[in-house]
Amino acid sequence: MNKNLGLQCSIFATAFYILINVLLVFRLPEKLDTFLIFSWVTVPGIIGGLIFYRMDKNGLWRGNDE
Amino acid sequence: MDYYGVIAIGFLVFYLFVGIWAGRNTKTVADHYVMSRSAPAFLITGTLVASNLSSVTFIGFTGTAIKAGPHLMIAMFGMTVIASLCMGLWIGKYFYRLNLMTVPDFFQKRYPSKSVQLLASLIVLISMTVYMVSVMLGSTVAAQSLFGWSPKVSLIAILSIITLFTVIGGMRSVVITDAIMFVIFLLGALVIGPAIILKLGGMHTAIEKATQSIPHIFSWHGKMTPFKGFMILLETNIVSLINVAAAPHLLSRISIAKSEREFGKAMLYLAVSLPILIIGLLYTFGYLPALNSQVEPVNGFPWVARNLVPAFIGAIGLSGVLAAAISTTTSLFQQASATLSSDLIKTYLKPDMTNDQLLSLSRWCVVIIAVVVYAGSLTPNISAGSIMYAFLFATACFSAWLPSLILGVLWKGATTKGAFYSMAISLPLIVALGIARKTGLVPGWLAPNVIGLVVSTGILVIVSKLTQASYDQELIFESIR
Repeated sequence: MNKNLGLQCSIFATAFYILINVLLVFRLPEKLDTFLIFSWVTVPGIIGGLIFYRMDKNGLWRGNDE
Repeated sequence: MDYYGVIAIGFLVFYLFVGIWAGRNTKTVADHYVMSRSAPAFLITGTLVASNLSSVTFIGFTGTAIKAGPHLMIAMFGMTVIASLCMGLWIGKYFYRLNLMTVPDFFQKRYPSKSVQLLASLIVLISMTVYMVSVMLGSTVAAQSLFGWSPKVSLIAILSIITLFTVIGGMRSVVITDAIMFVIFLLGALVIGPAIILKLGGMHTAIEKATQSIPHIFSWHGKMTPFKGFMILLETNIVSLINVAAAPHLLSRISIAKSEREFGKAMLYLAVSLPILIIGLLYTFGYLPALNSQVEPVNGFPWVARNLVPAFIGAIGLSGVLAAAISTTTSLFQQASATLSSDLIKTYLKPDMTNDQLLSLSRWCVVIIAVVVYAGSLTPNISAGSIMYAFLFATACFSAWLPSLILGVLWKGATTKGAFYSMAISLPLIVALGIARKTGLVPGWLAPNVIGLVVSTGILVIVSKLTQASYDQELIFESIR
């Protein structure tokens, strides 16, 4: 079982978040609205990855067959 | 028939072949209903995304992004991601521990009462059938506008394919074909949408052109007033929440996972991949008016697929629209037939049925439902507005039972009477409110789903506080915690 999966997903989501901000949002004439909307859809994935990582570390899954 | 039509037919044949091939190992009821709880994470992610996105996403949402700006459409998927993570990392594991075959199974186990289970089964059966008619009508409209097929030919072709491989393969066929569709959607989003930006001369030039011609795309509410924008933001996010946490065809995917961690993993994959798909598809379509303001918003996706990308990629993209409709319908079919056979016919008419008889009955139920959906889809007075209303009716039904589902696994005090009155009172209220909104008796911004969710939650909490949970209910609750 890959116990770092949550961390890897979180890093991937962070990389995508940085990419869309650098390549797109920071170039817009009005940045705030797009930044907030993109954050609303992207940031939960980053946080979710970290929670999943903590759950793996603390063995919070029942009956895991892997 | 043009090149795009030929590719689409090839695609449908491939789809049928994969569905039948995938279903060759379906031998038992557990296989047919829940893949014998053997699905790995990537298949669950694929089937959830494919079932959640329908042709409406590709045609309707891109059209709205073109017409009114992309932000509100993108924002609704924020709640999809959050709700999916809540299900995967927190609530879903309690459902998984109940070892469910169908969603009404949950009501039978958590609220042991024939009336609650019957009400839940009827909600699933009616809402799924109405939802299927709406998606089938959407897909025939899509096939007609994309390939020039007549509505009857489109309906028969699509319905035959879906029926055939749902009968043969059950959940396994549905899940595997859905996962393939997910890959196609992702590729479509990453190629077809960005083609608009490339044609405009890259991101920098696209932003400059948009600043001059369509400045509203930088605003969160687009062309709408902030108040209307806020109400749409609220309603679409609630619809997303209801869909993820209470739509039977999505909820049933919890039970197919090979472990509760695998389901959590699937939801994490979804939370990471869905933003890429949605931003890649919807944000880029917001820039289309800067390239060609003459394109009708509803034709935006087909126009880009036919004009801005190589023909083969465009044809795959257009076939993907059809695939999106098919993958949603197969999931609905699967749930409706499982409910009809297991939760209604077996429970109330023939409780001593063997597993082999139930499997055979489930397959016949797929055919029966296909005939009903065919008849419903041919009704001449069903209009485009009715398609949307049918979708809203289905989600309204889900909002009636959402509190009974979620509080059922989180709150020990939720009682059978609370669940019954919550569903029995809020469902007609939501439907009445929906009709009142459609006929103009209440303002358009008053969302029946939001009101329904508040009412059903309130009734569940109040009635549960006034009644006592049985010892059996408390035992079941303790067993899943």
